[in-house]
Amino acid sequence: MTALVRTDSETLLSILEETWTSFVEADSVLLPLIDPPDHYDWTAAVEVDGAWTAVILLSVDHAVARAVTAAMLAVPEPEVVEDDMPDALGELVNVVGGAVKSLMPGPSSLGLPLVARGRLSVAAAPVEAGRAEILWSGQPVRVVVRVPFTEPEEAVS
Amino acid sequence: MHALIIDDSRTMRSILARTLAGLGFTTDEAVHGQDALDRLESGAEPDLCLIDWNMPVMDGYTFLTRVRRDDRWRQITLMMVTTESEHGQIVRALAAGAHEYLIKPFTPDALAEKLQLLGLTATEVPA
Repeated sequence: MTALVRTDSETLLSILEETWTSFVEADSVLLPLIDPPDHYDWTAAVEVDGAWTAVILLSVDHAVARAVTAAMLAVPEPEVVEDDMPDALGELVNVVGGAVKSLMPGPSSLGLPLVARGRLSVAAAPVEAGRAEILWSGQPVRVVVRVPFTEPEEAVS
Repeated sequence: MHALIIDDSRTMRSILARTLAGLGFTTDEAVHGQDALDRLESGAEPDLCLIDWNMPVMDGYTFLTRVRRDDRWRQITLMMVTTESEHGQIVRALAAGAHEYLIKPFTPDALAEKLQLLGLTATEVPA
């Protein structure tokens, strides 16, 4: 059985910072967000399967999707087309998911990322095991770790 | 120097291509392992392959083992560039013939350092 291994928000924030400064903006500043929105325009997800099973979800609004895509492709924001955004968001959640996986019991493997407008259904992983709500460039970004089981419980930081 | 970037993400191929261009490389891109293998079979002669692990059609590890089995491609330097960071996977890739292993996320400096260690560049990453 896969244990519920919780990921604290500071660890997730640190992973996001490293991902953002490496691939989005070298001098990115990410801050904890006190009052996160209920809804996001885009959700990207990647599954981890093996000794530790989970789904890692990254949610952003359209403005953030456009901004990170422009930054990662090194093009001006007006040149970004919507078709480019799922690939950029998929790569970000893939990197974040890989970093989360590296802190967990192994061996396990990453799936291919899935990106959708709005919410993604993760019925197979109903239990939330970690969450970070952050502010980047004045815009909210959410990362959630969901797992299928609830016991026994451990904490990873 | 010429590099073949093998990654299913156009975004990541773009990031790697820009970094390599700054180090004086010319680049081509393949969207998965089979695409890369087809390019080699068609006569492509890269000095370096940067290989993602998780890709559709053919993953990077399979590509790595296929290339290492074939003497025609013995001179190509192979570097995994992947989110897969478990010790067992790194050991597996190196044992199968990868020369280096770079974990995402990485900085341009980290890629430059790996290439320098491999003797493929002496160029500093431009600021």
